[in-house]
Amino acid sequence: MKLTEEQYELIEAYLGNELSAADRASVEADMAADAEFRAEVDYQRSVRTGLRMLGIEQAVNRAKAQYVASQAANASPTLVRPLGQPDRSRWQYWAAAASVVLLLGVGYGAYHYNSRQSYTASLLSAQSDDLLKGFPREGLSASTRDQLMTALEAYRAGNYDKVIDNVKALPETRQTVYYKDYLLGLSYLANREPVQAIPLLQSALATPSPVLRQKAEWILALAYVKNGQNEKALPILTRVSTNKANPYQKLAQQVLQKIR
Amino acid sequence: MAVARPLPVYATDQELYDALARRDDRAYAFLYTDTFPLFQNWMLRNSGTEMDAEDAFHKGMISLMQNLETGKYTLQPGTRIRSVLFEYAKCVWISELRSSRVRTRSPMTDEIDIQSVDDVSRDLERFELVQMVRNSLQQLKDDCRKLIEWFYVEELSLREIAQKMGLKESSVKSKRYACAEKLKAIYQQAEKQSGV
Repeated sequence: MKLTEEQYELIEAYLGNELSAADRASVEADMAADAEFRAEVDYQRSVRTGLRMLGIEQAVNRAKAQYVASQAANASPTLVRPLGQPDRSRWQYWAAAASVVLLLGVGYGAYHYNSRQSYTASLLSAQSDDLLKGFPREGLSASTRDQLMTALEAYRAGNYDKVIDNVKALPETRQTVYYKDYLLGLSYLANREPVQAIPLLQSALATPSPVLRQKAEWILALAYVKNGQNEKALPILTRVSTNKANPYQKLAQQVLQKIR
Repeated sequence: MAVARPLPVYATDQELYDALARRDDRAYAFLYTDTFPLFQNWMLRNSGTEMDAEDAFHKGMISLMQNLETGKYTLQPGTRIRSVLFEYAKCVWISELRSSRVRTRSPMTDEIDIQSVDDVSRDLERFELVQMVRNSLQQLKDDCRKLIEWFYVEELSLREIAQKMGLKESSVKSKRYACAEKLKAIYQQAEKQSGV
């Protein structure tokens, strides 16, 4: 239904509780009598809710940025880490992710930091990830877990051939299948073999873990870029770059700038 | 980049609640800083990762603030807002564990009278709406997108927008209508494509 400007303003005023009791009752009578008009009011209500939540999300993002900044300034990571737990290194994963970005030729300098504070802030707010995110936690045998941990160590050491060999040798179970595909895809990409990486990362997208799916999607976009398939990377990067809740949003925006 | 500033101290939860209802940035930062470290510790002890903690906390805080602004959540005497936010974020996490068919080792506590996990699950459906609205906004031309964001997201008045755009208030009002209709066309097309 195409609204007139007058109808639009009336619905605006209704949803904003700006109408008199009599006018309000009149709008509600129209809604009861006219399903199309009622659908318009429902649509406007939904979109207003979505836009309001976008505003709240922006406010939460600002609060988070301030929290991250205060953490960096205070240099007190123990405040956010339980005692006895190691700082599971986002720093290491960042280095690994940056190496992928570097090999893609989109400019490590763009992601390099000017100070510890800005680096930490960007790290926590945009690239908050590490290799253990999405790691299967349940139903693994001790030997499988050890093999996976060995593969992760090899990845961190930059020995991607070893990762690929180790991960290929892992038994394929319900618990490991998606993480295995993801890690293999990541390693092939780091090894400059995007053709091998792409189908594995596509397969990893079927994981029930939202965290792993988010990671696999981001790395898949990079694999497409590396393979010269920008047309396939663009929809993913556009989606990621417009999702403020996505930890790869800023990186996706930077990659988009490079390939457009 | 945000600069670290001393956070305000609210004498009572009512003061904090009122500031949050005004969407005061300092109140948001206070609540985030006051609550997130505790929640992150809890998550790390209960099958979660740091990223899971950030995601669940992010969604939980948005849901609570949305409910607070619309009056769906109102502060009860003796209730700590920090505790309510903690429970919202826990509900998000438990809901996501359920949807992933992963068993949680940390059942929900009943210490605080807030929405059930099911209620929060329903709230989470609103994030799909947000995503559709966000995507539709991105497809608008710059001037329309800015106008809609200024009015509906940042809640500026038509007069303030008129000053920013160098237009008369009446022109901004007409333009808002035209832009809202364009947004509707994009949104409804996306709805059709997604089969909603």
